[in-house]
Amino acid sequence: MLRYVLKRIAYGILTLFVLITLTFFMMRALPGDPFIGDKTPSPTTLANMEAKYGLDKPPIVQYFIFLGNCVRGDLGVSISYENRSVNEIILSSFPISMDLGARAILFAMIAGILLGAVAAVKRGSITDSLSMFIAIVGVSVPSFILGALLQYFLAVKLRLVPVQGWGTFAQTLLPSFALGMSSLATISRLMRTSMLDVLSQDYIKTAKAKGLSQSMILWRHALRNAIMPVITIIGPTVAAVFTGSFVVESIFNIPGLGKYFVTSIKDKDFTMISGTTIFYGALLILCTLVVDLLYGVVDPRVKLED
Amino acid sequence: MKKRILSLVLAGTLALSLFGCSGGGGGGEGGGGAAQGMYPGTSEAGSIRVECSTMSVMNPILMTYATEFAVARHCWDALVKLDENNQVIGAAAESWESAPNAEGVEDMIWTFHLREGAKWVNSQGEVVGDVTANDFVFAWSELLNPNNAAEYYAFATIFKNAQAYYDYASGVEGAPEVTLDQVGFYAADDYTLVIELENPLPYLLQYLKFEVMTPIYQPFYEEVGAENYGTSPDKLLYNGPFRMTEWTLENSITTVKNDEWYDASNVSLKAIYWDKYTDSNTKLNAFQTGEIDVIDITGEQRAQFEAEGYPVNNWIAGYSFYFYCNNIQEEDLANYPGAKLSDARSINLRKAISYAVDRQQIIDTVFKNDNEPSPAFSLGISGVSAETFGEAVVAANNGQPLYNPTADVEKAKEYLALALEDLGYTDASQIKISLLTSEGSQNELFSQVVQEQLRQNLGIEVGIDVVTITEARARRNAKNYDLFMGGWGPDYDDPMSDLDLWTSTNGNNHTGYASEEYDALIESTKAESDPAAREQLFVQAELMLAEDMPFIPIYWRHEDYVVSEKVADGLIRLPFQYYNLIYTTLAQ
Repeated sequence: MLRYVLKRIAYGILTLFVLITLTFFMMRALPGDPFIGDKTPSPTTLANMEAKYGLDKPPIVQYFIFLGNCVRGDLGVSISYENRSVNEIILSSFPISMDLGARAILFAMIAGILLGAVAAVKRGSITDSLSMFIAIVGVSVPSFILGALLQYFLAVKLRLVPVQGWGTFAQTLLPSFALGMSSLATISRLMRTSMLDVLSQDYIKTAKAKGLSQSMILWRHALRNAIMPVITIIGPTVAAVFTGSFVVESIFNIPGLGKYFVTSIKDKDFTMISGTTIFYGALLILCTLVVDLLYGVVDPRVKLED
Repeated sequence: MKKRILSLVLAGTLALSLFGCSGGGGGGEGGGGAAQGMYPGTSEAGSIRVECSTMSVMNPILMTYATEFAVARHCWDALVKLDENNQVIGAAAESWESAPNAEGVEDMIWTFHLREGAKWVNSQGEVVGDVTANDFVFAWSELLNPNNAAEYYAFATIFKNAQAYYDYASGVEGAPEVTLDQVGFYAADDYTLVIELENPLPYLLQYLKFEVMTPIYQPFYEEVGAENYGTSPDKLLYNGPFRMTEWTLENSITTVKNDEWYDASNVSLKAIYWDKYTDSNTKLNAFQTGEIDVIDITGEQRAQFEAEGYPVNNWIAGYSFYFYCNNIQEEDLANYPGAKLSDARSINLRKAISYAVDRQQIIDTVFKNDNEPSPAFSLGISGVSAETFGEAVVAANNGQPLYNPTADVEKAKEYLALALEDLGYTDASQIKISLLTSEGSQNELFSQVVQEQLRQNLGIEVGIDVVTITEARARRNAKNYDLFMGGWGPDYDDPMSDLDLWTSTNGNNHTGYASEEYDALIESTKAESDPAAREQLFVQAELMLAEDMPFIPIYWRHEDYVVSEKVADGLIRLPFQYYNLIYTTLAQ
């Protein structure tokens, strides 16, 4: 087990190294200059700006300095947000994205598992159709449409919740819902299929034959086994929710990290691009590892070996 | 045992999810009661929330955006400032006088008498020190410090020897040694600041009001370090009517009244919240539900408010929009590596395009607001012979705009025929022009409208090249384009701020237009001390631009905004004052 974990960590570091290298050279291939806006600084000022950010050195030297800084955990100083360190920006904005993401995933998991399970048990009923209708809506309606609709009806027309912002519980409801909806849809469909599969297994019939109550069968035997595929997709879902929060964050004016991930590329803010990419990359690697470990915990049949 | 725990967890989550669902439907605290007016605004007493877009940098010497300067105006007093009519009045300085320099040139040495008793306060409102002349000397030295790489350092190059010092300090090859004490500013005593100019500058005070020229308290700056100064509210000191208490990057800044400010007794706002919105629908929704008091609106949103009978306000920031045209001639191409030889080099083609575009139709189709077809280039500048400089230009052109508001197809075709001769073409179909367009639905629509107008009115096929904004700027600077939409807003209230742009040495003139005559005309304004005669020189410059047409002016931008009923009076938005809320009062 320990050996497996160590090996996975080693692979993770290798992946990160490749990511760092690719990001470094690819972002330099982007056309344009981060210091040139609507107005163009004088050549002397441009040279001073490049010197300030170390961009006056040859690319290969810059690369090794950058690599050294990454090893020390220093992601550099942002160009757009002059003098602000990327570490500081991530530290102040990511907890908000994580909070939002966690709420969205919690909502998606709970409601998705419930919907899927109920749909499977009551297969063919109105409940089944309704839950699958919700799933289809969740998959096919993008979060920015859903977010805008929720905002319009629940916040503007009915005045039940605030339109935007982050801080109070009421402000978290709409964005969490909008962000979690597509994951909810995926989870509920997966749960339904898996639950149907489990319910047709011999051991369920055995349990029934032994006279166990319906609820006991469902809770103890069916749900636990049916939930395995859902756990498999938690990793990618967490990553998708965290990195895909940009749209929801901008609709609901939430000061999360998602915005920087997108706008830094447009602004050609080298340090922000690399900082957010590396950070999200590390997060994704970590999520996958945790899910794989969790797999072994939930299902003892899965052996974590190299 | 394990199984039981899992079951419990699942049961728990199911119960939670039920709870969560009902919470989703019934909770909330943003709901407003029945309002008396249509848009009563935010509920917190004594404060307002206004929309303010880019607020990335709050170290005054490093700022570049009008929106950042707007916040700065409320946090720091420069020597002078603009009042509600855009007139210069004293701020940190109470009075000033000018004297000739050693060579006898008038108005070259200025002495400013600072307001005694002005205080520096921190984000908590605690007094940290006195505002003295040295704070200006120090701030301007930092503005000229190459390590800070301040984009607006040029504002400090009005002082004697300042450019030479900057070049020397930046290590420019061949720059002679100049030390900081040779630069034309010093503190004669704590409350007397003396400056000596490099060249006569009739608009000196317009320069000194600029927010990058605000003072910095040296002991505090050195304590937090240049690299940290201004990265959060507690890493700044304030000498203005407000102080910053909170700053969530890319989201919101809170400024609260500074009780130590000299005129604090006349400031009635307790706090101003500066909120950034990225989504214009969210912004509108927030205004409608009383989460913000002042927002800028789109043409469509304006129509909605007008339909409801709600008052819409309009202001001019001074932005003039135009097509940069690639003027580079074949013989000069070698001097511009990476530049494109464009058909736009034909002056007659540029004129044909200018006559063929229907400026009013562009505004009606794309913006649907009060934007004006440009009668001249320069906008938002005060005039001498007329109220605005723009009016003086139109008056000099027999009351006619320099550029036609609607298409003049006949004239356009006349010029097209000449253009074909210039370019050695036999048919209009041989003309190859494309519109370099940066991403964005409005930009793309804009280009499509122009494309269609040129197809109909000139019979030429124009391409549209959509690229990212950074790539568009790179291509603009490299002169690798035909036509590119650009905008320009003046930094100070003088035609020079606009018209200097088209001189051959200006780093923002991306057209390749280099006219010795034009350069000389702009240069001659520097020696002219009579304001009316000087204005006429600038008028001549505008007429010359219309004649040479290195760029094609399209429209003057107007901004629409709405204000909640919470605001009673004193909300000022003018050129050079994106917001002035210092004396804003609220309805009770």
